[in-house]
Amino acid sequence: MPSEVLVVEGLNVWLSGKHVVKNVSFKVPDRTVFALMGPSGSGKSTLLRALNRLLDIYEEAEVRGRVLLEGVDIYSPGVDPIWVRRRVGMVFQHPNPFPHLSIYDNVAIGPRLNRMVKSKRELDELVRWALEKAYLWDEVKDRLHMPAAKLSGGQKQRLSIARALALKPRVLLMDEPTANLDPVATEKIEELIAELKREIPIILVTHSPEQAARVADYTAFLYYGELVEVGPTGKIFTQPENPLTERYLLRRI
Amino acid sequence: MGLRERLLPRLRSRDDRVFFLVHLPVPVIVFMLLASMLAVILYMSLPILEREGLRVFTSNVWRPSDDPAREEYGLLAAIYGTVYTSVIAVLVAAPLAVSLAVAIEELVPRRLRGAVEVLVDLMAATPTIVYGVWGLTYLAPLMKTVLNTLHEHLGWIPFFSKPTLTGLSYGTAGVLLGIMVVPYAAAVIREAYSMIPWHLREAVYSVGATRLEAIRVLLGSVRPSIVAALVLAMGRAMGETVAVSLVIGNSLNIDVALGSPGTTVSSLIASKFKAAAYYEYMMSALFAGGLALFLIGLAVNTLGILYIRRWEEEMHGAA
Amino acid sequence: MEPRDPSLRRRRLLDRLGLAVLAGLAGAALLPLLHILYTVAVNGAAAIARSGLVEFLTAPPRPLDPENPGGIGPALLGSLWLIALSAAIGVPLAVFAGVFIAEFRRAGLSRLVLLLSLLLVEFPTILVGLYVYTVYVLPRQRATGGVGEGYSLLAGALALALVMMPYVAVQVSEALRGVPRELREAAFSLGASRLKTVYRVLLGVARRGILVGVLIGLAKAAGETAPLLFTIGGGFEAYPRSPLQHGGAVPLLIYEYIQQAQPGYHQLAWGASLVLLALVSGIMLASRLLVRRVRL
Repeated sequence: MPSEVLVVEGLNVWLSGKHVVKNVSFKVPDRTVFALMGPSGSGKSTLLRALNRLLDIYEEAEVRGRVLLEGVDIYSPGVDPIWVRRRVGMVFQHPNPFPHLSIYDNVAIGPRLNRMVKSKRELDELVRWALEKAYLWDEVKDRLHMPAAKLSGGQKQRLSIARALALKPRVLLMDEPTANLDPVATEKIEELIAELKREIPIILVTHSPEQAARVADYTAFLYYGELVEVGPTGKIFTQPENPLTERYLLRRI
Repeated sequence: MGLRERLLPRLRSRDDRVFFLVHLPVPVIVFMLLASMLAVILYMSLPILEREGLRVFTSNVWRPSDDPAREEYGLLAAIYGTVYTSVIAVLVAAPLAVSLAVAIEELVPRRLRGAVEVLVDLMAATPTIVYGVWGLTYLAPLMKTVLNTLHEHLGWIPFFSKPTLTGLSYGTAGVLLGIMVVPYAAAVIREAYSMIPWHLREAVYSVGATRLEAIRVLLGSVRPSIVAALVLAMGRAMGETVAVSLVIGNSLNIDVALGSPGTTVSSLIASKFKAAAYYEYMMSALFAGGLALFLIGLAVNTLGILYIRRWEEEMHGAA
Repeated sequence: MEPRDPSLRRRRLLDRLGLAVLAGLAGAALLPLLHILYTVAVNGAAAIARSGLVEFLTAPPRPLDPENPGGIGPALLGSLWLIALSAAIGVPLAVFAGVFIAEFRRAGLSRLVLLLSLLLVEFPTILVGLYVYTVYVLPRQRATGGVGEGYSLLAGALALALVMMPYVAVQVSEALRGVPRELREAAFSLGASRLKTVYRVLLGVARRGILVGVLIGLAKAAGETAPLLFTIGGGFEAYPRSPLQHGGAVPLLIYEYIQQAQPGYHQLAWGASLVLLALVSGIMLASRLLVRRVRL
């Protein structure tokens, strides 16, 4: 059994003909946090959306290359993107629970759509499990049927995490999950990431090298669509091999 | 902040004050226009209201007479017809408008979108009288076949309990109105649907939704706009005159059967107006119909606004 | 680990079925319009061909003459009078109101005017007709004596102006609000008075949006029937010589003629429908060329 849950090989993405991810390859070992860092516009978010075939919903996007999820190439012809997405959870830059659904329904939506549970009790348990995992249960257990729109920003983001966890995914993708949060909420999310990685690998997109240094085991530096350097976080930050990486870490680019 | 500060613009210079004073007639005229419209309709309905009281709205009778003492008018059938046909219209228009809006946003290929948009615009701009001529010539005979077939096989259902001789009926009027209000409702729904943030759309797909499942969830998030669209559609349907009056059969008849002829307030006004000048109270009765039309419209819009308010409070009010 | 999840097959099937139903309903929504366009074109063209286009547009109707059914000349002239007069009355006032709404957009008063205008847009047009009948036709009727007096094209134009004004005012305000901030700042930095800046510069900048609003307002006015029922008095045989006289209009002619028994009337009604539809869709297409998205 390979210890890499996700393997990316020669991945390319074009958006409306523009080459935004250029021949990127890397491996994500199980139970680690893998950070994709780079300046804005470097293609990190696009790359992330190629890993759960979310780019399929955009007509203008074209993907080439291989992404192996536990050995299965998610872009091979027989694979249904829905099969992929229910095994890969995703958390977005904007805390985005569905505002018209209750807290409970926001967590339950994935299991319901994917017919993952057989009874109401099973669903209740799954929702509770996901909310506990996302450090949210204690704050919302008495008001599960309140609309999600009333939660604070940090709570909303943890609810989005619970929504993704309820699918029992094999990988969790996080697209700058703290970009719209205050420092206190950010700290809480980072604690949560450290806790969650004990069970599943997390791919974290961030534009902040500090965040990568704080939470990631591996870090990849992406610059204008190219993977400049990838390796253990400690090594990237202390002995970068590529001068571009060094300049980025020194805030020169 | 006082009412004065909230109501009036901040004028920082003499130039601003001049500009404001020059435009002061605008709010004055708009207020006076609306107020005088209501006043005129109310004033003109007074004779019949004084004579018959609220019975003019609750009885179904139309008895003109050369002797004013024997005249009697009741608008119930027209009020019933207005509400009934516009409810049918909304029921017909709702699935069509939602589908049309979603299809333009989700299914129509980008290069064909312009053509479909032109069609929808044209649909809204087509004069109502043209809908009426078409309804009378083509829709009524078609509805006659449909309603009579339904009557034959499902006659035990009250809605299909009567056959139609001409096709001129509540059912035909309702369906025609439904067709006419689709573009307005679709435009409102489409506007709201296209404003759904893209990250929300991504979120639905990221939990493994199919296209259809995603559309269902996203439509749920714009529910107030759908309600607003249907309220708008219902208002237009209730106010419509000539197209309805051509296909409804113009008879004072209260019946749930879709095949039976009926009338609406506005088609009653249109059809009786010419004769009204020869009687003492008929004109006043027609204005009372106008008053009823206005009040029903107000009620529908108020209910719609209350629903949307409640929804928004539930969503964003204090926890 | 099986990428071909069997439970997914049912959902995929349901997905396809649902999307097909959706597309079908969307098509069904457009179908009546296509049929209307087709039948109006076919029936209208046949009717117009019987008298020839020029004759049809200019001659008075002869619905009972099987040889030469004539045309809709007097009604068309009435409609042109109505459009011109209602535009002359309604458009300047609407621009004036639109400027007020847009320029004082933050003040409660302006928002109130906008709200009332939107209310007026939704006001049943037949009630507008009753209103103008009461405040304008009826007094003139009393002055001249006699039922059937007092009707005039001007009364109809007043009613149409009332129908059109709130819509155009809202459109003008939106066009002005759409002027980019930099252009607004540039206009005000020219140092002219606010009146001059807004009316000479900003209205010019927003001219496309304003023109589209005015065009669609005119299209609406041209197609309206209900406000004319109690105002213009009708008469489709004689050419109106002055807007102070009673007269006919194309939509009203259609409404009256389609209710007659003889087919000669129906043919004229269909021909008139084609003329009306061509006029309105011409305006629509023109405004569509001016801006990408039209709001109705």
